[in-house]
This record gives sequence, structure tokens and C-alpha cells, in this order.
Amino acid sequence: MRKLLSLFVEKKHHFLFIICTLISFILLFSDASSKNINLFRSRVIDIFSTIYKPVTWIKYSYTLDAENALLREQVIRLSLQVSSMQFLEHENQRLEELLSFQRENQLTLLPSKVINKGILSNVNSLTIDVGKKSGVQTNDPVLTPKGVIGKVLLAGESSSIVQLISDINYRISVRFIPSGSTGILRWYGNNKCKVMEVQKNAIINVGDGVVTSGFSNIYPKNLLIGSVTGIVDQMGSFDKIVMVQIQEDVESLLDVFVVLEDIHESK
Amino acid sequence: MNQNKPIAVGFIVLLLQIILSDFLSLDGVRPDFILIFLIYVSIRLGTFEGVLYGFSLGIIADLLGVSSYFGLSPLTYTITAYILGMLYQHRHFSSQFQFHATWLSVIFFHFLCNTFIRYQETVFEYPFYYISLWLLTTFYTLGFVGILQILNPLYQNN
Repeated sequence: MRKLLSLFVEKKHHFLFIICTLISFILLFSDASSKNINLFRSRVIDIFSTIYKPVTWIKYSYTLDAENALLREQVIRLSLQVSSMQFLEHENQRLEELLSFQRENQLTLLPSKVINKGILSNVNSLTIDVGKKSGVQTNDPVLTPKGVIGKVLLAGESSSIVQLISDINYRISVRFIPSGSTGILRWYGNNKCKVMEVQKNAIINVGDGVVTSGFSNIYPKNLLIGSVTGIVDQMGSFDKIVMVQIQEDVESLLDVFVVLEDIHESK
Repeated sequence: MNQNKPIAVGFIVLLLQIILSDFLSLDGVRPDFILIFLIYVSIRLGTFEGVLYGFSLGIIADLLGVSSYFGLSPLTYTITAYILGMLYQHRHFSSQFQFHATWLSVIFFHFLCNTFIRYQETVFEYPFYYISLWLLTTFYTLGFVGILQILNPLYQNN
């Protein structure tokens, strides 16, 4: 027994290495959606979000001038658009009434700030400053004005982790506009995505829009994702691959919107 | 060395990683200060301390924001620290060149594993992008190691 103990003390670094490696493998291959792990992770991000907040404040102050100038320019442009759209809205309402068109429910968007992009060398997740207290739940879609960028992976009390579209395990069912064909989108690299399982006879052109299909329980239909940049028609395959460019730069996100739960009812 | 010193330095490194990694991000590529800390801890203090810090900091890194492959960071940091720990007091190395070539190879291997495991599904479809991502991340981190080498060289004649 004493020999065993002295061996353990002498070779403690090897034993520690084996134990740490085993725990890492268990974590890696365990169910990522395990309740206990998720609960612990949500507590940790809540604690660390307090550290991030001053950093986020400095970051926002740094970009404030440039952002203000950009916003002023946008306000002028949008106010011009609003005046022309008011006329169009009025006309649209009149036509809808005529066609007894049932308007779809509006999305409930919750604005939030990105407080952290993880500390690992490559970005595939975000931490945002809203959580369960604001009504955020796991799997709520996350958007920017340029389109869908991810979904809530883990909701803490006052902060949440967002799985980005750039994460390797992220999938989303999409539809091409105007053809209406559907497929499964996943990240490819360098702000490009790949849409698989698209019917070979689907008529898709470069520049076509890509939106959510509405087939999943997570995303409402017709949320913008990006545009088609290329089509790969493989010989001997029953489907084709479509390349899609994401409009938003996922590396430089500062503000995002969370689509709250009641949108699922509108599906 | 004071036992509490590496803990304090580790905590500062973690804070630096949290605060600075986003500011120092170049087209999505960020330096890995945790790895730099582990290089020094493993080579200066040995395998046991290196593995202990590598695993702990890896767990914290993953807890702070990773969507897929939860557990990969502690695994890669642990393995890297274990291998680097073999350079402790330069026991097996007669030349400086051999010493530096070894830890540099370990760093390249660390980032290779991280990049290729995290993007395993697309890495072979778009190899140039991921190879450049791997190399840029490695060289960016090594740039900071290079600066530290001037201030506090890893190889010290005993």
C-alpha cells in the first residue's frame, strides 16, 4: 500500500494528466444539453457577464462617434423612405381589405448587446446581455437587420449564450426566393454557407434571396438569411449544392435582436 | 517560486483574455493568452502544474462561451501542457534549437487540433481557408510569445 502511495506521489503528474484527459473526454462526449451542465453554465455566464459589462461599455464608447454619424445618415435616408412607404402602406391596407388578406403576426424582437464573443481563438458563440428575466428562452432565434445569425443555446438569468451560424453544428432549413425550393443550410467558412439537399430540378440563380423555410419549430418563416452566390450541380447526385453569402459579418456583431417565444405561435 | 504567484498570474491572464481578445481580434483571429501562460507554467514549473492550470483554464474558457465541443479546450490545453512539461528544466535537450523547435511544434499541433476538430465537417471541403485560419491563429499567438521571449526568455541556462 505504501509502495502504491509513493508511486502515486512520484508519478502524480501522469495520474493528473490521465484524470484530466478522461474528464475532458467525458465532457466532450456527454450530452451537451444535459440539464445540470446547462444550469451550471448559465450560472457561470451570469457571474462573468458582470465582468464583461465595463468592457462592453468601453467598447461601445469607442465606436460611439462613428456609429452616431452612421445613424444620422440612416435617419435621413429612412425618413425619406418612411414618407414614401406611408403612401404604400395605405394602398396596401386598402388592397388587403379587398382581398380579405390575413396579416401574419408581427415578431416580438428584444434588442440586446453583445457583451462577449467567447475567449477562444475562433468565434462561434456570443454572450448577450438579456436572459430569462427578459423572456429569453433556449432556441429563440437571434437576428440582425441583415438576417438570422444564430439561436439562443443557453439562457441565464440576465445573459445568454448564442450559438452562431458559424458554429459547425448549426443547421437551418431554408427556402430560396423566388423558386420556393428548400434545403438545409450549414456554415462553410469566410461568411459563406452551403445549402444541401436542394432538388436537382430546382430553378435557382445567383443573386436569389434565401429565407427561413418555416419548417422548424425554432424559426418563423421568411426571415432573411443571405443571397445565392453559386450553384454546384454534381454529376451522379440527386440533389445540388447552393452556396449562400451571409450579409452580416459575424465577427463584428455589436447589437442583435432576439425573437421571443410568442413568434412560435404565429407559425 | 511562491505557490500563489502562478494562480494570481493565471487569473490576470484570464482577465486579459476576456478583456483584450475582442479588441485584438484581426478578421476573427485572436491571440491565445491562456496558451502563452501555459507554455511558461509548463516549462518553468513542470508537467503537474501545467496540466492543472491547463485543465482549469480550459474548463473556464469553455464555460465562458462555446456552443459546440464543450470539453475540447480543457482536453487540448491539458495535452499541450503535458507535452510542454517535458521541457521542464530542459532535461532532454542539449541544444537551444532543439528546445525551441519542440515547443514551437507543440503550439502548431495545439492549434491544428483545435481548428481541425472544431471545423471537422467542412475543413476538407474548404482546406485553404482553414489552413490559413490555423496558421494565422498560431502566428498571431506566437507574435506575443516572441515579445515575451525578449522580456523573459523561455530557455535559461541553469
